Amino acid sequence: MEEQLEVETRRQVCVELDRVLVELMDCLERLATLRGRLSREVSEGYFNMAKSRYSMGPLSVGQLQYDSVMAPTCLVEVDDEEAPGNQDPDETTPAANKTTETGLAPSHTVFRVFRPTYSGDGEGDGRGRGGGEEEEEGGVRRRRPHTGEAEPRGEGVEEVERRRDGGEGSEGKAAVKNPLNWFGVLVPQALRQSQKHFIRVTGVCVELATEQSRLETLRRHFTTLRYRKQQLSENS
Amino acid sequence: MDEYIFNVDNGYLEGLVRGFRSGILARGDYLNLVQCETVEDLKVQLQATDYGNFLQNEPSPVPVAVIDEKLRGHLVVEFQHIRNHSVPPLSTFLDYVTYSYMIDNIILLITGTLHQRQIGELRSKCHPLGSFEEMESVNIANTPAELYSAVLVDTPLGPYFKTCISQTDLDELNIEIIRNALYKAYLEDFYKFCQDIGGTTAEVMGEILQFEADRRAFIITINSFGTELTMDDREKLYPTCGRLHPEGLARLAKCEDYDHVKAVADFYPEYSAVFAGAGTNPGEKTLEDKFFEKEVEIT
Repeated sequence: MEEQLEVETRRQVCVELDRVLVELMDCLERLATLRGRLSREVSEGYFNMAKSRYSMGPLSVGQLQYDSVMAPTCLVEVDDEEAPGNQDPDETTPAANKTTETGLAPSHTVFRVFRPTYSGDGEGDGRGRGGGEEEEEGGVRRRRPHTGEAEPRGEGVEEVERRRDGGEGSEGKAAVKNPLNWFGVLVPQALRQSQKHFIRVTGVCVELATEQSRLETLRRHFTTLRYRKQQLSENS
Repeated sequence: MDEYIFNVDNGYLEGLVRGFRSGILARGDYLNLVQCETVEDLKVQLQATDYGNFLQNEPSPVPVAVIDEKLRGHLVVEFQHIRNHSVPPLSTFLDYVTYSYMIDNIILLITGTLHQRQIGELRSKCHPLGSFEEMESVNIANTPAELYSAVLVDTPLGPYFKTCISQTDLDELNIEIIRNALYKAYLEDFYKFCQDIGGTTAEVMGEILQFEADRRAFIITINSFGTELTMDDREKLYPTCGRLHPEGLARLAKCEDYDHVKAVADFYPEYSAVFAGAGTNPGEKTLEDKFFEKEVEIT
């Protein structure tokens, strides 16, 4: 009876190992895709910046146009409440045992980008609404803008109501000044394109960080399961 | 009769300019430069041109900014030599050429000061052709009125500033308006000066300045889409010395997107050709590239 139980447990561990390995490979593939995307967006961003320097003059797009101290327009939220933390792979912790039995992988740290709409956007430049599908994949929270226009909702996008008290409004307004205006109001399209590419880069970086964290968690889980399997083999 | 006394004032300078003209880099020089794989190769190739040993005393590796500065310095020395040996109206003409660089320098200084940059750091980045004595005082001004009364009133750009004093403070939008308003006033004044001289000057410079005015009108219109600049404010920035004045400019002021601008350009054959080949896809030339090519063709 006990032998049958051990065989069954070992079988479950092997099935879980296979599942985690496949997930690990998928995660690696996603990582490679994201890295390729990041490299493309960064090179496009720099290329468009070079084109705008060519048309505006070499000194028009550089350090002289912005403050040495600045407030960020983009924030990253880190959600690691369910993260497994620093697990010693040599020890079988209750959490690892629990995941083996239930078949669920432990949670990983999730990063989300939080980007408010820029002030001073004309008619539907859509920078705050832009990056549509890419932002949805990364899990983006967006504030509903003051205009009250209906934002297109998509999967993975969380709408956060903006508080209307003066302090929040003025603080929010100062934080969302468009960096594009550092270089003038009438900037060429190449510089706008460059900004769009770099906005996408921040989204991709956050997705990369989440996938990297997931990969690390899967790797630890895999190591724990292998150790468990080895122990079961030794006991039988 | 003027031909007999031409050499008194302009003979030496004409000879100099002919020499400079023959020293301009040709297609063969550019082909050699394109073959270079390192900055050292570039230095060697440039030594064989009229630039000579301008980088001789610079330690390797030479940064791009230093090459840019030295090349520009070479041009500035030649320009100032011609300017120092010239008499009116040539001296006035050469002064007009420097005013556009002055405008760029003023805007650079104002923008840098707004972003808490040191005046010494900004001063070193200014174009040497646009230098004037009151440059370093630009950082004391907080409003356009102060800028005018404290700094610009005694400079050659003083008269161009009258339309800008109405602005109340120096923020990004107003700085952009000041830049374009100054340039508009300068361009129209330069055009009038050339027309008053008449002859070949009016003919050649007229065409160049008309093209520059029209180009600025198109670029201001296209770049203003999606910004805070209103149609009325935009119309005030169009220089009126170009071919587009008055009907083209009136139509441009009402444009709301790129296709409307292209439709306005179609009324003018020389500009419809520029818009025809332009696009934003990879491999296509941008509108700015096509305008640059047209400018080279005209000059």
